[in-house]
Amino acid sequence: MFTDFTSEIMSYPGGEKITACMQCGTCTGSCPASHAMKYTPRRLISLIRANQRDTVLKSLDIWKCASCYTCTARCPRGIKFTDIMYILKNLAWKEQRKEEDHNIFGFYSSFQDLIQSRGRMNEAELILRYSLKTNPYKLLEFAPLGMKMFLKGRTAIVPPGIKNKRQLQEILRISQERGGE
Amino acid sequence: MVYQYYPGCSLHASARDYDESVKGIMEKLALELKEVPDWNCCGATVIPSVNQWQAQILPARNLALAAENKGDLVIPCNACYMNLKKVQYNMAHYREVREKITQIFGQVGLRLVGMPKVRHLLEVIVDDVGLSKVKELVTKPLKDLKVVCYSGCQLVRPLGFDDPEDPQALDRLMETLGAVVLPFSKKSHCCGSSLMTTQPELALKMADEILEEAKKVGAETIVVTCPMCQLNLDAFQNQINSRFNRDGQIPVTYFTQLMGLAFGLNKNQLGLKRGIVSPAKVLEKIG
Repeated sequence: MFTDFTSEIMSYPGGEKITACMQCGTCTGSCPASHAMKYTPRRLISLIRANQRDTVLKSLDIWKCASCYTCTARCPRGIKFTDIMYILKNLAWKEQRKEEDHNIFGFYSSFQDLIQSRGRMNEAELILRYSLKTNPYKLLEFAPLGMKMFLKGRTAIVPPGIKNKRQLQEILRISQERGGE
Repeated sequence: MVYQYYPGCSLHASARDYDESVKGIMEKLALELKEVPDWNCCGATVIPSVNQWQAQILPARNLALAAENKGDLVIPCNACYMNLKKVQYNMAHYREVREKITQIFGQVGLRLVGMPKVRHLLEVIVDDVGLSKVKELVTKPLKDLKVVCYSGCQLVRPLGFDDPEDPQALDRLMETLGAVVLPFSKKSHCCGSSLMTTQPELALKMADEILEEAKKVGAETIVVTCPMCQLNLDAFQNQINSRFNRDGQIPVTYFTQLMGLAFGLNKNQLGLKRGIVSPAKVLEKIG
């Protein structure tokens, strides 16, 4: 469908300007997570342009983006790198399910399941689902903070949800069928 | 002034203090906030990472519920604000997105005609209410309270309002309340967001840098505009202190809580007892 990885990225909203990159590294220098990455934002752009699709999508570095948009705010060429990170994560999620990193897979899928079933997020249930999916012993780690939050009245007693769940589930389902992933 | 209101999921749970203080100050400010009926989660930063279509659909349903020219939509959370604005941007700039959402929504009777303008609560207070009106309402100035203003990231970046690197609105508001606003280079840095759960070693470091500078410049509290920032900066200070060998704690308060305090509202009305790091001591001098 695409001749190379660059044109694939460019086909998604936010990916258009990737070829304007001049490898100045402002993105990497601005990124609060780049210190922990082997493939930093600048290197990721370079790898995309060198058509290294597998290397990029298999790298867990793309999951280190916290979506702070500093790179986007600062890029002198107007590249929306935060959006490119989202595109990369979407592709990786679809194709290389993150079994290799249990935590990431467990958290993102727990969140997604929770929204699909209730329409609203609640931290306590998210942590519960996430821990049960990854490692139930995590509940012990979260317990002290969870207890404090509970005592401060900062947890929802009744799991929150929307009334018209069917409508939400319906539009999510149709979007899935129509070329959604 | 009447606005539509999208609280976002956190304000009904971990950020109940934010919700309480928003409701507390509304009457004073002569603002009426009408909650959008049956609103859903915006998807935070999680859904856009795994499914771009769901990331359009979730915020767009909220926009549809608030559509038909019912007035501006006010949002207190930076991430919800960014997500709803971003869908509007995508619908305006990408025909494929616009047509697909319209078509899918048409099948369930949702319409996106007359979409609201999306505003952050801070933006409405500074731009619509105005600082001169705020000043008139101050009965207990936050005298000698040393604060650093932390806008966080998603409020001020492209699509947001204020300067993306050195935002000013929160500083001006706090000065208007009588607080001493200290220079702070981390005001729009990232708190670590949901990485606090998946990759705590990364997020704890991000939060630590913000907390450390705030303590170093002598702040008594960090003022925030977002429930995610508040949680990450407030709830993990013990872990951060032991991990990075730091001392001391600093309370993290919502700008709405400090506004309520300066307006003379009762502390219990403002959720000030809910901080993991209690602000009680530093707020004693306000009375």
